[in-house]
Amino acid sequence: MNNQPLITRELLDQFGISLEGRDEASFIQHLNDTLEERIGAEITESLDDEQLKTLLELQEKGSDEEVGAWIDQNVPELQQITQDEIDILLGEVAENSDEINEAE
Amino acid sequence: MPVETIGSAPSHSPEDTENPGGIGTLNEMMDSPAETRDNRHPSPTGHALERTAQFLQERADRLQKRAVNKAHEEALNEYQSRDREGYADHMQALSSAANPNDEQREYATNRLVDERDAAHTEALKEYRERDRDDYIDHLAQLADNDNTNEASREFGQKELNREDRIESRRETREKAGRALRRFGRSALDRLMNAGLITAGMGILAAEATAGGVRSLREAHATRKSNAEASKAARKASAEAERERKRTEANAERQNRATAAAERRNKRRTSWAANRRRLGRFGRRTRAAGRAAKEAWKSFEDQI
Repeated sequence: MNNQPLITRELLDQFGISLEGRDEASFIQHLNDTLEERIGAEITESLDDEQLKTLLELQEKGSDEEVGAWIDQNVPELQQITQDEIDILLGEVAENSDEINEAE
Repeated sequence: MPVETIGSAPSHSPEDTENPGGIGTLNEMMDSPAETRDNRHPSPTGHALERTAQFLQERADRLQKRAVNKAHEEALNEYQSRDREGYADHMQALSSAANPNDEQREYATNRLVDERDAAHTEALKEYRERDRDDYIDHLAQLADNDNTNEASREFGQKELNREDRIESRRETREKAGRALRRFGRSALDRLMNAGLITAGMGILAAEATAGGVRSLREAHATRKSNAEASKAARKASAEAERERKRTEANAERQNRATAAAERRNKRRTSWAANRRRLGRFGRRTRAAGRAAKEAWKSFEDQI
């Protein structure tokens, strides 16, 4: 299981975002948490009630691998959903990079 | 024949020469010293005029009073926002003053009560924001203290219940948030492992090199725009699919209901036909029975 975060310091550098003197690790963690939450929300939106109930039960008892496999099998547009959310979030970061730099 | 002149009977015609001023000088006539000698009853027209004038006067008085009260209210609100303590002192003085005007005293007392309630609510809010745990302890003490009055105990308990609900909702939201993040994390891991998704770094790195940070930002803005369009299209498609399924399900229910109604009608028709048939059979049977009884009676008589 690859637990590498998608949004990294290098990516922020490419956007020209500099967080010197501020809590950079928290900000990056926040971005990655936001991304995961949005993807998760889109996944649940695509499921019907029965499927969602099954997934929530699996989430309580199963491993990450089992949850991932179930989602893979039951969410046909998973790749498109995930890529769209990545692009949207990174677009927001790009749009607001000046404000992020100026914020204290 | 000469017309007999009628004596000086009361007349209220506008052309009345005894009252040359006519209707327009009604009030003046009422105020004049001559009024005391005038024991005439007002005519219907005069009576209506009096009533109308009185009504208009009362209405004007009410409007005037309302305008004054409104101006006073606005002045008090401005005072309250400008100097809250001074305002509260003013209301306190007004409510306890030896003021013959009960209405003013009651008004001031009510506003003072409102002001105290508002101040208390704000104080509690500030307490809650400053130290929520301590605030909840305070509520618990309030709810359990037998030495306080019933209203305070009820207030404490009500607020405790409210805090419980808030906490419960917060925990549920946190749990849901953790679940969503887990789903998202699982999806990301699988897709990144399979090399099926990217942060766009590889694709856009060339643009960044060539055009700098601004070019990269613009490129990401375009990707974001495309992604949002894709998401919107997906949602519209999902909604259309749900609508299609809803329509199909409704049509299916409609068909089943129609078929069931037809079956019911057939049953009822069949039962009615049976009753009629049995009715005829019953009538024939009864007729046959009566005939048999008659025949036997006749036979017995013969014997």
